[in-house]
Amino acid sequence: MTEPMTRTQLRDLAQALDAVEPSPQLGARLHATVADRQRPTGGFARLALAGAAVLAVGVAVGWSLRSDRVPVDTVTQAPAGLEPAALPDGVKVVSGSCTVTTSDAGALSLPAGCRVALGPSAMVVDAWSPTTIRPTARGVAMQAGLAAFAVDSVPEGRAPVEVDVGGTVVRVIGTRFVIGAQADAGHLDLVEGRVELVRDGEVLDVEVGRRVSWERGRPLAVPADTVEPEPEPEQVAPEQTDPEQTEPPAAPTSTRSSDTSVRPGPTPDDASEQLTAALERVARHRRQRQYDRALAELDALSKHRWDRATGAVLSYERGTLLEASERTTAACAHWARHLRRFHGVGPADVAQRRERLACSDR
Amino acid sequence: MLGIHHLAEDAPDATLAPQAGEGVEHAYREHGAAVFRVALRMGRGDRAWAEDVTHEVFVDLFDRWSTIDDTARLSTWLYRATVRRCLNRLRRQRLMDRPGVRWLIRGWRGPQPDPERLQLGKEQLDQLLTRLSSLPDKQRVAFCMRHFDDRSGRDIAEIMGHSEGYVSKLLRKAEATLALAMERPEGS
Repeated sequence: MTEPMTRTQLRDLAQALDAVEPSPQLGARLHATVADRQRPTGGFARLALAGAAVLAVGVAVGWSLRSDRVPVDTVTQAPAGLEPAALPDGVKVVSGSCTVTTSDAGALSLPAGCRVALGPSAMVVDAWSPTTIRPTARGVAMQAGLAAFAVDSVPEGRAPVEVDVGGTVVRVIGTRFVIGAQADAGHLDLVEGRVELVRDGEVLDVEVGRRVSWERGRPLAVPADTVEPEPEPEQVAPEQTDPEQTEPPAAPTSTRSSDTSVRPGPTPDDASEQLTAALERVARHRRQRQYDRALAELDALSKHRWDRATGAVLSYERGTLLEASERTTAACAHWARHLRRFHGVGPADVAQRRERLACSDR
Repeated sequence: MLGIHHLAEDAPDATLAPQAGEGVEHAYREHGAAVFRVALRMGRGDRAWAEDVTHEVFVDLFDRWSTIDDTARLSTWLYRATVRRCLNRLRRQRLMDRPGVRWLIRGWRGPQPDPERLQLGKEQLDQLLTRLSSLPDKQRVAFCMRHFDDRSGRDIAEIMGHSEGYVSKLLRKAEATLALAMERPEGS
């Protein structure tokens, strides 16, 4: 910093921050955790604590992190009329209330909210929707559902833990990571750590922050599952803007030039920040009914390549904006293109929207 | 020399556990507040976030206790572990904040409450903290390491896992943004 005033301010800020103390509860929390880990049964508890949703695999469209603390009591029940589940060796229920059923083939059906620890593979599975898994020698095979998996560190030299999702194997190498996936047509988002995806002999080393998709019968789609910018033929008439509004319109996402050719996307970090900020501006313009400004924001975003899911979101945003601004013809044309490009991805109400607008099938 | 070896292949010996427990609790009494403050700066003044990071760092220390051969260098180990833990958490948050991901998790997770921000009691300092918090994560972390913790560019680069040139660029951007922001107070 070159400004003397700013240096002074920084020093003052550093001093003010240095005067902040952590709460006394933090020490007690650490003491409790350490004591818990020192108990002989601490292995599962440790895994459960690490179970802040480190790995999530599911067939539903959705996943998220959970950081809730794990209850320590263990309850295993069977549904009315069924015998209590006999869990395979090494499998323990670690959630407060959990009804587990097992099949003859050794598959475990976990209801939403159930958390189990799989001892042999040092893994905790946290079902977020009804989930069916089967412990394997090297980890777990997931058949259906949505679940978070926590895997403790895999020491060097040991075989990695594996999650088999319909023939696609997620090979866990690092310690901290999150994966979201669908079963037959899954995807994987890696947040931290390192995993490999293995399918039909093909091995893909996944980098942090990247998405890999797969579909039954197709090879792994490398992260470059990107969407070309969509030409938008419809011209929209400028709308009246509020003269009081001083905010500049449509902050560009790139300052290089104003051409409309395809540019390589920004780095993942920059991209997510730009995207988040731009979509927040779109939402604000929408609330203020400044639809042209919102569309201009989307135009700027569409000059970059995005992954398919993000592309679908941007396209959906555009469609709803065209609808909101009562450009029915443009909206119909857009929704038709959207369905062609993003069939099966993104919100599922596009067909209903077309019906409501009485769009022709042309 | 960081004072730590590579991770052992096996979990720490059970007989070492009481020693580890005592060692970690002692280390927390000695360094807990310092670790918390590093996390507080890098975590935008969010106390709960900083406490979570602090907890995780010391739990990590417990897990790796048997691999640490020089407790005199513990503060160095803790500093690095804290910065890296902060970077990992911030990166994960960035991913979770991506619109596509937010759309995917809609219905699974409600709107997240704003974190409890620290109030320093002086308008100018609160404003500076706000400006600092609004920097991109990597810029903020590099800036804090340079200007609050007096770390060299080489140190920052090594801890963050980037080249010195990239760190220099991060610092220049952060400094320019902050200088400009302080010239133009919020709302002007």
